[in-house]
Amino acid sequence: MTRIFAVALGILTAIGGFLDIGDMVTNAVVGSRFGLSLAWVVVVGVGGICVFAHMAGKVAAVSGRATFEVIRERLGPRLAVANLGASFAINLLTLTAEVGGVALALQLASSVHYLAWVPLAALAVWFVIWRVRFQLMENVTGLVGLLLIGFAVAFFLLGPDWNELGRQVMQVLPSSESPFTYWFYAVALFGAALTPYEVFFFSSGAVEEGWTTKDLAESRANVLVGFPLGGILSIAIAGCAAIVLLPAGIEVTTLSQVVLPVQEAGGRLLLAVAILGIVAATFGAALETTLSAGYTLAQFFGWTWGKFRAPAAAARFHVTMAICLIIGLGVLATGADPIMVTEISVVFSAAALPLTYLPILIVANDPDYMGSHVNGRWLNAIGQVYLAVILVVSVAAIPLLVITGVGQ
Amino acid sequence: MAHRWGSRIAAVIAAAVLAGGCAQVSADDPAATAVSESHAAVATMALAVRLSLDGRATNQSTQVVIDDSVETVADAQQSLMTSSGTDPARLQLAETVIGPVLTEGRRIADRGPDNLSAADLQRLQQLEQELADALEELGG
Repeated sequence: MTRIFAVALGILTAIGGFLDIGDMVTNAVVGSRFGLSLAWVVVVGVGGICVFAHMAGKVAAVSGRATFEVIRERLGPRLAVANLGASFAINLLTLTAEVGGVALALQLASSVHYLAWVPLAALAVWFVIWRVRFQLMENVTGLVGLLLIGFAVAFFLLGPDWNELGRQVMQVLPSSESPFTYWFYAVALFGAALTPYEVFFFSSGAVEEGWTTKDLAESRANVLVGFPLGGILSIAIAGCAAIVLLPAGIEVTTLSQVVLPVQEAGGRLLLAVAILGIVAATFGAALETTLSAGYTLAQFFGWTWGKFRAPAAAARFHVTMAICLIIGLGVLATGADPIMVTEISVVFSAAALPLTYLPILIVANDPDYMGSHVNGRWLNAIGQVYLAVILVVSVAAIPLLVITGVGQ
Repeated sequence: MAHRWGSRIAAVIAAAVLAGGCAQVSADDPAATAVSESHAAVATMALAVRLSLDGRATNQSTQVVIDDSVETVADAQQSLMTSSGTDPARLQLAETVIGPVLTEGRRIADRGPDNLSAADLQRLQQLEQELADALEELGG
């Protein structure tokens, strides 16, 4: 019974914790401009994160060590430093976007300018990381983040025209948009679904929670059930925008526009649910990115790390996270638009994907680390197909960013 | 062999960037862009005002949507003022339609969601139509 409860809780928190500001904004922008014609990218992206998160969790459960520790040892410091450089920079950008997302969501609830919320949001992130136990932190943000289900409820309450949505799904390129813009957003959606911090957090979290090979089934259930259901919430956000905003000629540029369809569908009550869900999801992601910043650096340099240790016992790990939060705070204090930071972060994320995912595939194939749990033939084949897709996306990301002027 | 493939990939990327650059230049019309952005902002404001009048939105969220929309229109007007090399007649047309939108948006934002009325919604819908007409005239 306890086991079933643990698996159910894991799946629920995986659903609630799947979405972050990048997923929410990118899906809403895409829905308001392309309808559901890019929904296939979410499906492909969710498949990718399932494959690689499963591998990363397996590496952690079998070896008892997090991805970065193993990468440095297995691939040597030179390749590991390239991995670290790209992942750390993008993670910092994502952290900034998430803190900005929390502030924007609180602005929606209070109408107090988001810049006033930024320091409080950053302080709250630091406090939770400093004081709250890992499991409690993960479960609370994941479960409250489930309130994003409000978007799925809104989608059905809006009474969608299924024929029109079906036509959008089958449409390769809407006539009103250029192919470059279409592919730019395809890359952005893919990058949002496979953000590198997700696997670093997933594998380090496995070590924090002391996973062993006995936990592999639970890990598989979290990934293979929780993430796809989270992906459905992503499509619901795009669907809401496609039903309400696209016909009105409203292209999403702010978070306040993202919740307009929810208000249309369910009024104030559903709006409150959605805002609470957004606050929890972005706050949870801010915690995860901040922790990932500490994890990656500490694991690369061999520092003592982990929330299961007292802060004094992992001082450099905690100082790294505090500095990263201060940097994020500084970027937002310049008045940088959090939505623009989000859009840029998901595209750069896409550009750096091979540096994150290739090492995971290599380590998951190494019998010295994995023993009998080394990747099977099918998992390898799927992993290699995804790696090829990731390489194409990575090459295309920056040129598309330049060509389209960040998707204009 | 690898070198030859590297050169081909570089050439394809360069061609894509150049082609995209050309497409970007032809699509980059400050007047049409500013009117298009303002149109989306007014449509957003109109939707927010309607939801507020229907009792489906909170005052806080409505205020944020209106403030964000006014900021978008102000940015669009600012970009018109700083643009160069655009046909003055097109700029004039864009400025003529965006000016009243900004004035109306600021008036609504200052009065606050408590004082919204059906007349405000009607006025926004009228401005939305004027922007749509201007956009059509500009070929946007």
